Amino acid sequence: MASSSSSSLSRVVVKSSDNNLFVVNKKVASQSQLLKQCIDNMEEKGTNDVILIPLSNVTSNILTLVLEYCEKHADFADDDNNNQELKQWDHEFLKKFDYATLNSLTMAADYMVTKSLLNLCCQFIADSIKDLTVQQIRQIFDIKNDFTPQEEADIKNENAWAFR
Amino acid sequence: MENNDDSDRCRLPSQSIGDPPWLVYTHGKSKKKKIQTFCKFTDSNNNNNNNNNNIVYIKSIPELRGKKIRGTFHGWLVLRDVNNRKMFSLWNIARSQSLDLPPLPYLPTFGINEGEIPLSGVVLTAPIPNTSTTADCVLLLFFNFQVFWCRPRLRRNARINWVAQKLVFDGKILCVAQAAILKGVIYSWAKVVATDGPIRLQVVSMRMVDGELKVLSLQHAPIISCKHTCIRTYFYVLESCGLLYLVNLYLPHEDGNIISVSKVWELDPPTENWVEVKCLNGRAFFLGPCGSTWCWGSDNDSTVSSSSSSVGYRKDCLYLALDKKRILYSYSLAERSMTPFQTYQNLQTSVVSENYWLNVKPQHYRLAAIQDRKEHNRKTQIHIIEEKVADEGTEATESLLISILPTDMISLISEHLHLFEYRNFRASCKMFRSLVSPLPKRTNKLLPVPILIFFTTDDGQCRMIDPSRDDDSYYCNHLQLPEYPFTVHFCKDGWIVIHDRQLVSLKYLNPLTRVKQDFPLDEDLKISDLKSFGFSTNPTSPDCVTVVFDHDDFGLVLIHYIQYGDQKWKDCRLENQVDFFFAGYSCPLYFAGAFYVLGVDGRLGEFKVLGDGQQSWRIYKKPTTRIKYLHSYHLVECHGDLLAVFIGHMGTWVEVYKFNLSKRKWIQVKSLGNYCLFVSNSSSFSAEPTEAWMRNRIYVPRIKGNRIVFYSLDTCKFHVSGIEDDSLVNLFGTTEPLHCFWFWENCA
Repeated sequence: MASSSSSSLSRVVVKSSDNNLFVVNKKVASQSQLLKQCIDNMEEKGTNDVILIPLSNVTSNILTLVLEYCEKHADFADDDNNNQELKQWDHEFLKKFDYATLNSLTMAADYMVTKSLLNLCCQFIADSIKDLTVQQIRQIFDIKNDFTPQEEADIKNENAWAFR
Repeated sequence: MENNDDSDRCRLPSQSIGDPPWLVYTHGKSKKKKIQTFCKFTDSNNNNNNNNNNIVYIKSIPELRGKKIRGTFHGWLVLRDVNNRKMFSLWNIARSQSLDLPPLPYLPTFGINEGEIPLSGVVLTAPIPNTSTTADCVLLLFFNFQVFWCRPRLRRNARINWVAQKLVFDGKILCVAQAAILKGVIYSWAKVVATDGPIRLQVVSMRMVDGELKVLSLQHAPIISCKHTCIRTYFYVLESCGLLYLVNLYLPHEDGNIISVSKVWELDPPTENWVEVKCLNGRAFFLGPCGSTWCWGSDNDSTVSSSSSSVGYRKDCLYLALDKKRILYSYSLAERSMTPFQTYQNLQTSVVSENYWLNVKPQHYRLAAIQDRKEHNRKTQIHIIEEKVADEGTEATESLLISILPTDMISLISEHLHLFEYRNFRASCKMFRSLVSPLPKRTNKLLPVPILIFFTTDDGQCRMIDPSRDDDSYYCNHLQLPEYPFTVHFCKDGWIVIHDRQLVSLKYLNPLTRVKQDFPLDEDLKISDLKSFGFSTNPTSPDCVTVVFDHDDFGLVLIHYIQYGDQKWKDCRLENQVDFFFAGYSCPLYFAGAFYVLGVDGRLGEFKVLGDGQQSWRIYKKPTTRIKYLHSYHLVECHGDLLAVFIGHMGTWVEVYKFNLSKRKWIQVKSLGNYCLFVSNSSSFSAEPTEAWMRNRIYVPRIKGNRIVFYSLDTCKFHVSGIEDDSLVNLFGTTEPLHCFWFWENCA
């Protein structure tokens, strides 16, 4: 759970769709462009009060995960040397989730404009179809083959590399 | 495994029916009492040290003392005396029965006071009978066009006479080499010398008719036309399963390992035509200086070949033992790849006086053929069952339910897809197809590093291996190919140059975008002779200059070049009588306004196209004098530097040098830092891989199993990708796909 360990920085409060409140320090929050934009807007107005940002599309379960990611990346933000360690952490982080969570996380990352998390999720999904055939990809993504046999033959032809 | 038991030393090692032939080396200092080493080895992808599973027996067989084996037929060895070269004898291995023949009337020479004509071929037409009732058995010795034949008998006091005969047909002299026999007809490659014409290589068939060897026919020989002129070619003929085969192989370099082409033809009995075959129906052929033989090969699957019952030689492979050499080449017809092996490193003496394939027992082909079919059926059944299991397995997998993702997310995912899945992703449903563009954007992560592409057949199947995926999976892609077989000459930034071997056209194309363009052809540009190719930049750019290094005439470096849009090639003939620079086979590199090319000896040539049709040519010294016996040499641009990679004979050493352009000096490079190199004759790249484990490596176009072989500058050794803990002593035992290149569309 996001905590308020460093109290010197100003903090924001984020409200999830199921009305749970999360106190997030500014450095962690600025990993999300959406939250950063809100903070910047309020600071321009010169407000010194605690800001409350409601996120109507993100449940508290998913928000917890996004904030866990943001916290880790905020810790490493000034440290270029531990790139490899961070990558390893990213990988371990995503490996824990089932596909449904991964989906929600991807959408939350998109909504909260956390580009690095969005890229990470997309890469993870892309990697998960590695070495799969068309049929296997359909099964993984739960989609129906809606091509006619003729269309399928055309696609096969179109997909072949042309050496002539 | 060695067996040095003294009592056993005089006996031949046992061979059961169906066992593969022994590869026998004769060596030893004593001229009369030679040592024979019998080798059997395992051509398997599994064992890392390729000498581990080899079986070796060291023998000194009394019957072979002072004799040279010249052939094996029907269980009989044809032996020639080392001292008295007119003396021949026959030895039956199974019955341990010897038959001494009378001396030859004379030894043929090329002329008076000229050298002796070497024995070029031997045939024993049938097993030797006890009585004279069957007259089928004839022993023929071919000394080029001079033939001696006799009818050997086992009956005591049987008179055996040599008959001398010259082989002349239709006024042409026939010089016969190794021969094979099928249904009483002797087939051989022959050099045909006509009085007023060039020497031709043809296939001759002969038969004993009325006490005379008659030439039945001379046929046009189906030989490979080959682009290299300084190559050694090998011709073999053998009989297997009642059919006759011709084999033709090309070796471009004396000690190199590149066999550029290798083909097998089968004689179609009704039409008497030679038909090229692409597989040996499960057999392995053994080709050697003293005759050729065959056996049933084991499956390519390494788990099968490591079992005790297997023969250790892979099916559909040609095994080539060169005269007096300890390297055995394995050419896979199915994969069109070449693997050299060191058969036996610890031969007691370095000098091998002869080597040959010895099949003590005949190969029982009919029985074996039935067994093979049964085995095949069993495998297909198992295969079907496995497929069903796999289907059930995939049904059970959890689905990603991507369809509920917003559409922009799907195109976002597609940007992270690897090239191997990109098109499958698009092909999965209409929505995906409409969302994902047919041509990937340049920002896509399609190819993080170059991939190795190789063609296993001429009909459009290719395999692709991505070194950044460190498993042994590979991707099979179907290609749209030209109607005729082709060769890939060069690859740069997603563009490849291909040369269609039939139509004799030369073009560049991008296989992904399908943009293509023909190069103009003129008489001076003989496509079959081209050595290497290079662009200065993207070939569709108006600045682009394309250069071709032609096969050097002696004392002349020949370069063709063409500017984008020009209709004619310009030639540059450079007098070379002082320098003797021979451009190598690796592609030239365009760097800082000039084309650089490495010579076969390691020197660097610099070619510049100046304005007004002028050119400049310079040669720079090689980095060190240590550079000799090169396996391969490559130029590659890396992080703004011009690097040269030199690989010693079969990978015994690897050195990297940087060429300092301002000081014109070479500096040795001990580390590539965050970079890795991908080298081959048709394309070389450097990349800064995201995977840390790929750094500081040089990937070479060789594979073991389906894994790529690389040289690590950290360990200074060769390794196989994915099994890094083991290292290779050299490149023996690794396979070179013969039609391969690194492909990369560099997004940087």
